[in-house]
Amino acid sequence: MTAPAPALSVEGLRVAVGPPGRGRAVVGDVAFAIPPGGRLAIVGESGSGKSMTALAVAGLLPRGARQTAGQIALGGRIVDPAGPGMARIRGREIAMIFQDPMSALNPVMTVGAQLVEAIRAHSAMSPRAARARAAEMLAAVQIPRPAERLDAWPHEFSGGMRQRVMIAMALTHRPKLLIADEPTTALDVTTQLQILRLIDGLCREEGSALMLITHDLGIVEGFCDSVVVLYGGRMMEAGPVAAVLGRPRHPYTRGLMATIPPLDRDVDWLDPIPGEPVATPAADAPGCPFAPRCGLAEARCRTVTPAWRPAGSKVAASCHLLAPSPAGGGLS
Amino acid sequence: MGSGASRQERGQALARAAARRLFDLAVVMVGVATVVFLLLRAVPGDPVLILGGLDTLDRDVIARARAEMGLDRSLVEQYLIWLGNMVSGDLGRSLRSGVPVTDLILRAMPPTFQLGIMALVIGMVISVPLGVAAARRAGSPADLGITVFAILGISTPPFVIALGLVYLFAVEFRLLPVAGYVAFADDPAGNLRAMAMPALTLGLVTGGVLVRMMRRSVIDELGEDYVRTARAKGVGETAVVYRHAVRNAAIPYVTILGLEAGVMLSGAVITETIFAIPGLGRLMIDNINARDYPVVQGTVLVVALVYVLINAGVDGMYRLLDPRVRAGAAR
Repeated sequence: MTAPAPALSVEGLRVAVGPPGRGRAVVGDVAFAIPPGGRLAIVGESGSGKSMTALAVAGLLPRGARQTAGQIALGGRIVDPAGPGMARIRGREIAMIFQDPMSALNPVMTVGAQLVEAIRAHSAMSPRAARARAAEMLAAVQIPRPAERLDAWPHEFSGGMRQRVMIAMALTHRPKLLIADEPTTALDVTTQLQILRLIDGLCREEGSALMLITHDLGIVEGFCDSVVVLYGGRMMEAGPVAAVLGRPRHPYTRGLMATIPPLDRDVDWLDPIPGEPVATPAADAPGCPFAPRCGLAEARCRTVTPAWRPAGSKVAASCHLLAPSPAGGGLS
Repeated sequence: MGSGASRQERGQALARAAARRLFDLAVVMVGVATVVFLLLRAVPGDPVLILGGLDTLDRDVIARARAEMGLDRSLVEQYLIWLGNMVSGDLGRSLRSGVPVTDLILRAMPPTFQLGIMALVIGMVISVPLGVAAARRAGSPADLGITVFAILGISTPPFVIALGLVYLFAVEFRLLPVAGYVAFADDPAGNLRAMAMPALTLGLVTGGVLVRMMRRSVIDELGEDYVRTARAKGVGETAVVYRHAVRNAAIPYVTILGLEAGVMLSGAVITETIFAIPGLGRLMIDNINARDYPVVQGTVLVVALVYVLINAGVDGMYRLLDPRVRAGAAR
C-alpha cells in the first residue's frame, strides 16, 4: 500500500533576491512535505526566509525575487509556481492569507465584490449565485449579518474582521493547501486566538492542509503537528512538533525555546539569542548560518556546511555537533 | 462600525460636503475680488487720464468722468459697489471699446473651454494606456521609450510643438489650416479642423505629465498587498491590473488631472496666440498690454471661478473613486 501523495512537497527550494547572476540567496535547499490535511509550521525570526518560502510555493514572490532551484509538487503533481498556469491553481488548490489584513483588501472594492471575484475566478457561477455563496462564506467565518456586510467597504471592518474576510476568500474553493503567513501578527491578542481557531476549524472541515508561517512557538505547539525551523534561509531542524519542541537538538532551536516565557512560573529574565540576525550570511554561503551567534560554534561551523542528518525518530537537523563522534561528544 | 452608512446618511454627508463647497467658493471669490480691487487701486495712474489722454481734458470733464465711474466715492463705497456689481454679473465695461466685460468673457469662453476639454481628452487617451503599459513593464525598453516620449512632451515648449505640427500638417501635407478660429455652430467641420492642432499641442504637453503620473501610481499600486491578494485568488493579470491597481491609481491621477484642467481651462496664452484662437488667454494678455483694467479684472475673476469649480470637481471625483472619502475618513 502506498501513502497518499502529500498535499505539498517541496524539494531543494532556493530563492534569490536581486538581479540574475548577482542576486543574494535568501532561501537555500529548503525541503519538506505536508500530508493531506496535515499542519506544518515554518518557524524563524525576521529574515529567516520563512515568508519567502511561502511566497515561492504560491508563486507570489515580490518583484526582484525568484526561485532559482527546487521542485514543488501539489498533490503529487509538479507545478511551476512562477509559470503562467499558476493563476488557475492559486485560489483553487492553493490559497493564501497574509500578515496584514489592513492592507490585504482592496480599499475601493466592497467586501462582497472581492469575495465574488474570488469565487468567480474559478467557477462559472452567475454573479447572483456567487453573491449568495459569498454570504455563506462570511457566515462560515462568523461575521454577523453576512448578507448586509457584503456591501460594506474594507475600511468599515476591524482588523480581525478583515482577516476573517481573507480566510473566507481563501477557503471558498476548498483548497488542498492553505498557506497562512503570520495571519495573526498584526492583530491584538484576544483576536489572535479566535482567528487561529477559525483557521484551524475550517481547515479541518474542508480537509485542507495548513502551512502556517509564524515566529510564535506557542502557536506552533497549539495548532500544528510538524515544524520546520529556518534560520538564514536554511533548515536548522524539522520534525514532529512534540519531538522538536520537547527535546530540541539544534542550538538555534534551543535558543528559540529559551526566549519563550514559561507559563508555570515567573521569571525575571529570558535568555535572548546573542547577536543580531542582520549579520546572517547568504543562504548559499559555506558554513552554518547560525555559527556567528552560536555559543557552541567550532571552527568547522564557519567553513563547512553541516549535513542534514537524522537526529532521532522522524527528527532531522543540520548541525555538526549532532554528528556521532568517537569521543562520545556531540549534542545527541 | 457597521455594514456601512445608510442611504439617508450618505445623502446627508453629500449635502454637507456640497454646502461646505459652496461656502468655500463664496469665500474664495470674495477674496479674489478684494485682491483684484485693491491691486487695481494701487496701480499708479488715474483711469480717467489714461482713458482720455493727459492733456486734452479740462477739470469739469475729468470730474464728470470720475463721478460717472464712481471714482469720487470713498474706497469702502467703491469696494461695496464693486462687490455688488460682481454678484449681479456686472463686471463693468471695456475702457477701450465700451463693450460690457461680461460679453467679452462670454465670447472668449467657448474657444478656450473647447480647446481645454479636447486637450484633456487627448491627454487622458494618451496617458492611461501608455502609463499602464509602462508600469506593467517597468524597467523594460518599452517603459523607457514611453518615458522618453512623456518627458519630451513635458519639456518641449508648447510653441515648438505647435510650430512642428503647423509645419507637418499645414505646410507639408496641407491637411489643416495654419491658424484661425471658426465657431462650432457656424461650421462644425471647420471648427474641428481649426482646433485639431492646438488641441494636440496642449494634449501632448498635458499627456506627458499624466503618463508619468499614471505610470508611477500604477507601479506603486502593483506593489500593494491587495494586489498580491488578488493574485492569490487566481485573478488573471489583466483584471489584477485594471480592476485593482488602476482603480486605486486613479485617485492620485485625478489630482494631477485637476491641476492640468485648471491650466487648460483658464486659457493657454501661447497656444491661443500661435493659432489665433480668441480665447480667455488671448483676452487677458491683450488687455494687460492695453491697460484695459476692467477686462483684466473680470478675466481674473472668471479664471479664479474656473479653478474653484475644478477643485470642487476633483473633490467630487475623490468621493466617486474612494469610499473612505465618502465616509469622511482621513486618507
